[in-house]
Amino acid sequence: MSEYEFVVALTLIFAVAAVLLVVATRYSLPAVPFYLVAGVLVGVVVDEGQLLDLAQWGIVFLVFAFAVELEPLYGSGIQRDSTVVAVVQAAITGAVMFVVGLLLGFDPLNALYFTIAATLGSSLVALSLLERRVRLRSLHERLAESIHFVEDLLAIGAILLLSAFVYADGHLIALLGGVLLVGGGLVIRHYLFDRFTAVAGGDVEIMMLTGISLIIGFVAIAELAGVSVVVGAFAAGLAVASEYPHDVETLDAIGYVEDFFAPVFFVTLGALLTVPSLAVLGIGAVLVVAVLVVNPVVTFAVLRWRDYDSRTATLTGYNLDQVSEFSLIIAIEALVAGLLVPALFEAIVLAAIVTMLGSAFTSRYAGDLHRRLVDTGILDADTEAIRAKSRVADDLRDHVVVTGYDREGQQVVEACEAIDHPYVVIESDPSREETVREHCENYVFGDVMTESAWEVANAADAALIVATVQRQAWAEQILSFDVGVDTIVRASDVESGAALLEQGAFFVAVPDVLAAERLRDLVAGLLAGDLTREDVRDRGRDRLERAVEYGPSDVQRIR
Amino acid sequence: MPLGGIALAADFAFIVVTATVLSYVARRTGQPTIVAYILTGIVLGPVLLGIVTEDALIDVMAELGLGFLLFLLGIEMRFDRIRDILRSIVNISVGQTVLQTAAAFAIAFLLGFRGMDVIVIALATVFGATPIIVKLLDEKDELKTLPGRIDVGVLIVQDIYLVIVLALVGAGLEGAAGEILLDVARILGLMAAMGVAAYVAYRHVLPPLLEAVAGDRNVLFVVGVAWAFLFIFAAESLELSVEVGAFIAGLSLAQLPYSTELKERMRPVTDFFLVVFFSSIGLQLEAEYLTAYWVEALVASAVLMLGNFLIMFYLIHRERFAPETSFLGSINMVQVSEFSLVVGALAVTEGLVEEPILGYLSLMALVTMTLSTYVVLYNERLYERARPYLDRFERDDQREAALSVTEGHAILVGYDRIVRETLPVVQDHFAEVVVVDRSAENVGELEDAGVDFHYGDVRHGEIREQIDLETADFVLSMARPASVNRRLVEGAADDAVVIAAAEHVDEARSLYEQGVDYVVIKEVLAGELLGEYIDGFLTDRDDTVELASELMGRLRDEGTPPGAPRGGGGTGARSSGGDAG
Repeated sequence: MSEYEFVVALTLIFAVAAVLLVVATRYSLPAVPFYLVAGVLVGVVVDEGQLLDLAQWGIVFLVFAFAVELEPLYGSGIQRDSTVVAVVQAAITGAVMFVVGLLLGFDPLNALYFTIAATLGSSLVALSLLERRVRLRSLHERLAESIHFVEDLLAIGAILLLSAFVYADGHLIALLGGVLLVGGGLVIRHYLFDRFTAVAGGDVEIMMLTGISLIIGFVAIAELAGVSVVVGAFAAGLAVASEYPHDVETLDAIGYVEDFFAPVFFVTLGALLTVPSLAVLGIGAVLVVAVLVVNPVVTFAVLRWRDYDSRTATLTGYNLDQVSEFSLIIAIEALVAGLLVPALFEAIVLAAIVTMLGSAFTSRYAGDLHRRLVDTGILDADTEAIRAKSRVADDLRDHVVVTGYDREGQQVVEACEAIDHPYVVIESDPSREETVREHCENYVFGDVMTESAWEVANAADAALIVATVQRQAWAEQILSFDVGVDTIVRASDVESGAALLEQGAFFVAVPDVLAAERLRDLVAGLLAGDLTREDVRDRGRDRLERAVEYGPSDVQRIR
Repeated sequence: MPLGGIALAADFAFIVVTATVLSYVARRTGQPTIVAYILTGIVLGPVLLGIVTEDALIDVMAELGLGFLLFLLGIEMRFDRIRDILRSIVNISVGQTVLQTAAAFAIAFLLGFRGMDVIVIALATVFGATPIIVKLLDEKDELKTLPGRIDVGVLIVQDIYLVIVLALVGAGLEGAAGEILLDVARILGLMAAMGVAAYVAYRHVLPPLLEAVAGDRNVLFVVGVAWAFLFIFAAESLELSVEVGAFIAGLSLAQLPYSTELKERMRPVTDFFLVVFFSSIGLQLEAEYLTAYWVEALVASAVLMLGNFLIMFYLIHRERFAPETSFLGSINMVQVSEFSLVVGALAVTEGLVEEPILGYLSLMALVTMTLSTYVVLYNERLYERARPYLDRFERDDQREAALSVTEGHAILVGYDRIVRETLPVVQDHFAEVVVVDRSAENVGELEDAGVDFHYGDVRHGEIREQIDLETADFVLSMARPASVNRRLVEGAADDAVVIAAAEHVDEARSLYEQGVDYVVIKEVLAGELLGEYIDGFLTDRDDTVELASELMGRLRDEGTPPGAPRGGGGTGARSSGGDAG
């Protein structure tokens, strides 16, 4: 490919992608499917075969970035449940889809690829659909996030096994090589990486090159050992320690290099599509159905089995309903190796586009869907189950309903206890279950977004409802139940605050407004000389001590 | 076989790994990384090991590196930082370009070069290497000093000259004088046409386009890359050089508020490709090319280092700067620009000169860059030595050297509700208030308020540099994540008042330990107040309800969408709480 052709190809890739991304941002849709669509358009003109080299770097950087951001998640209850759910879900869906694959006439290996595409979800797309403020993520979002995490690890494992047993001849050697690579990555992370940083004196350029050299080194070893480059990139990512102080700039720098190559990968993938035949459309349709229907249903069933409420189970399932970017990587590896039936490859990419876009809609409307299912009686409202888990005094009247025992909720509870006023806490996070049981007189374990939780809390007879969580959708939902009780809600900004007032809130607490006034007074005092820096420091420490009394924060995991 | 062959088979993998190793060596010896990259090519190429040859992928990556480099240079063309000394800088740069081209021409001629060789050498020998000067001065904290600013300013203006030279050399100046003249006219005409297109885009297309995507910085990056490629493509199609297109693309973005953010995003990719570019120069050299003119290269290096120092000293002095400024400003610029190699490599590609000339230029670059690094590092000491002889250059009409590093100002990071409320109070006490925010939606409001607004992410060193963090007296940051606030505390002076936001108590505690004066935890402040209200509702309902409805009335007024009449205490109608920092 001549240089001019190259420039033409890259210009087309980025120009078309840029135009489509403007559309995507306009409607808050995930970027990946738009890259794929851009590829379909670009593929009409550009010979994508020649871009495969650059595209491979896209794969390598994607996996590398995933590994860099991996943090050991200490086994919270959610983490344990997610692992179980992810594995069981993968096993069940996998078994079903494998049989379907065989019935469709694929040989066992292709049926396996078919299964992988149908089973795993895309964290890249799904995470972009979640609430951005990690702290405010609800139970189903946290579940979905950690299930995705487990699935991605499963995908890496699948790639390792495939490259050991399918692509390479020396089975065990390749497998051993892969395991050693990952181990080597961890060794560098723990013993060497800090030295690199010290010698480089924090020079971002050198650190970036170091990161890329690590990638190259590990990928080279992977190639030598006959393992997939993905495993090498994953090990390289593990080698890069991501704690402060080298996180910010070095990781950003490598991330920006990824930003250049990752689109090239997805666009190239899209460009590999041709005009789909009927067979491709048929297989694609089966995949779409599997991902959009079978997957969420199985996830729903497994979560119900683990005792989650039906709404959480539904919403979690509908965040896992897209073809994974790892499935795409596995597919292209298999295609290049000549093992994947081209029709299946095309069907997988098509299904990826459809489901990635589709999941943006399903996760938007999953709540409505759930409500409709409950209304029509297909799903149980769980009222009795909730009542069984909760403790609400029979004569509870004129009480305060508090949603969520987070820091704000605890403060409200304290205020009630101080004047000896009855209250009930509605909580859905299992990790707070024990605390609530210990500290609260009355509590309901249920989802504030479902009517049944409010019924159990006897909200209709309450004196005041205090909904402290700062998510507009929640506040709106709570107001829409219209129980006829004064309701205090929170809003993140003035505009949505005003909107909530319109919807019938009695009082809207906007933390920014309240905090802003207090801070302005403090700064004014400081600048005018009424307060000294020491005063301010003492005051802050005081406040901090008081905040600590409300127990450990619920936001340890902010990135 | 699965996909593969990208690390083992690809030559450029060797390049990156070797460059990494050598850059560590460079770091230990205080040398700039660019020297390591050039050496990488020499080590891997035919001169030493001969294990890497230029292949298509390396060519493409090198070309991309060069294109992106010029794109960044274009984006960097912001004149507001040097506005107050712009006239002097233009005088100095023009004088320097003319005089030092003449000097290079004379030396080359005296050393026995003739014909096209001497022209290419004269055009290519430009003094002042941006990556070296900027990096070293930055590390020594001298970028903001007057000599530093003069140097950076001269480098910026010089880039314009270099782009024209690149355009001319890239077109392969050949044929009769008349044809060359026609060629030059055609090139300049096409450049002007692209410039006009870029200007129209800057006025009408880019602002709405970038505003639409500025909310998502990944998209901003893709749009920026697409913009660069569009112009590169246009330049290629018009048979102009890639570099010209990229430069004009950057230029059209330079004056927009998103430019710094975009530049910081592009830099790592550019650095990555530039490694390949500078190495590829070494790869083109055979041992014999490098040694063909080694005596000439050493002589020219010595003469031109001294000559350029004198030329710069004369020019800066003529602009009525103090001897110290003139001395430091000129002694920093005694190395051959990285563009010498760019021009040289291009001239070889175009068949204007043979490889030995590139060898001559490379050797000069290596020698002057290596030596000048130590010159720049020890510039203050050299000045002390030279001081007794410089007294005669003292003059009465000397201008005051005190040049605008902003000092004693207030910096507000993350323009959210809280910062907006606090801004007037801060403005009462500080003459100069700088606001940094990742969201550009409040630009108009901030401009009306008369503050200096910077769009971008404070986690970028460049932005922290621009806002003169180290000389600020007051820093209020609502930025996320916590590590950004840590950077701010580290960068701020010890006696500056620092107020920062935290999202939870552990974070708050560690910020206090780092020396933050006050840590704002919004939820805690708000929660306390809310508790008071709830208490009120349950005990003294009527009074509280009245108080609350008054507050809610104000909220309702303020929260009405723009366009409707505003109520409340004259504060803005919009808030961007979620975007802060």
